[in-house]
Amino acid sequence: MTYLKNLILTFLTFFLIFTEIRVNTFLTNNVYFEFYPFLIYLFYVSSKYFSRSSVLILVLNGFYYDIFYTTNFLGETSIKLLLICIVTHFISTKLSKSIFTNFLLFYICLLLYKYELIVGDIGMSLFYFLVICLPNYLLFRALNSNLRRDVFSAKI
Amino acid sequence: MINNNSPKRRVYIFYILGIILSATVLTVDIFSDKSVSTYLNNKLSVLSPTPLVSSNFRFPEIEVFKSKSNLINENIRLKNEVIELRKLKVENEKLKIENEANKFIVKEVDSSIYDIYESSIIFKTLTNQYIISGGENLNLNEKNLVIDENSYVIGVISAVRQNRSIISTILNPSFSIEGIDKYGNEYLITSDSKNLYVSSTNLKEENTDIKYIYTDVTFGHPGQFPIIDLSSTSINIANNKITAEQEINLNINYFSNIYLVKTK
Repeated sequence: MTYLKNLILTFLTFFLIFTEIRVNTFLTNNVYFEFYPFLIYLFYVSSKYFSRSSVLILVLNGFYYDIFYTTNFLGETSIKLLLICIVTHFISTKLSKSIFTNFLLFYICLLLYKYELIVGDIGMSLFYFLVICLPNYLLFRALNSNLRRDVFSAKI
Repeated sequence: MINNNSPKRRVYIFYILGIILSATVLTVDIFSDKSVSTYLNNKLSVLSPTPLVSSNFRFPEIEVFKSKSNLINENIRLKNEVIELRKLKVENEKLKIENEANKFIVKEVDSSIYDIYESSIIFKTLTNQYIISGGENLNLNEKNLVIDENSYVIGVISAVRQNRSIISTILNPSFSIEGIDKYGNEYLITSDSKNLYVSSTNLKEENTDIKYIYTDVTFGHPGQFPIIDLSSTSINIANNKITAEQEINLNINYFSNIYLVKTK
């Protein structure tokens, strides 16, 4: 059952990556709006659901991304995703649980997620990423408040 | 302090093992010259469907108001006819524009030397690279050019997959391409996503009367496609080097007309 759950989750996250890339392709003209459902998932995993079962899912998602959407060598994105998770989780355990620190953490997570662009162009405005970050963080909060209710364990 | 056997620490260890696994696969892929990723790309293409843009969009048929009255029937028939005619008009306009663009391309480019394929943007990746339709199925290779409807170079193919290619465009901060001017001077053109920077690498004649810098076969690209028009840009000559800077005025989106050029 656990394997089946992980398999379904893996395919769902593949779909998240596909959706993210597809939607952002349509949003190319809107410079200050980008949609990152996979980043939201990644942040959820690293800050709320940091478990060993996520490792293989993230590795496979990195492979999926490298195979179809980049010129990277296979495994580069997997390493990036796992490092983002480790760093985000580590910082989240050290910070307080206020909404501001949580937003700051999401922002750091976004910067790490898009590090290739920042490294390529150091002069790139961090304000730009802040603007992109805000709607995605609000979406994360909205989803998180719904996910908090564990419907599977609720008594009927 | 976290205990050595605490569950949190064990999870970190699993993550590190994941990194080691990925690094191993990465090493194998590097040493096999991407054969692993290429093989998987060909075998698992079903996991990343290529969206098709349908040009046969049809309005739904209006059959709700069928009645016995001939008048109403006639009205509906006429309404459908008007819709059909509007559709044809829109399609006609689109075809006219496409035809004009194609004529322009054919005029600019000697089609007996080059194969030119119309392509479209499929995805934009996290690193601002674009994935376009057309790949090994069109015998495309790395370094083949991507041009716009005015036949200016807007990018270069950086990776070819089964039915799609990844391109590096002039909007990419790591974009660079070599070019040549009419005097035979060689240049390296780089981008920071906002401006194009021209810098000569091999100067044969110092002259600021350079209109275009072209691609050339000596650099592995199909030859003589304009990369940049310097006619309205100030060109500097100093220390036996020609430099120039020009703002990028290009917007690539899902609906952009792009063409792929490869030598026959």
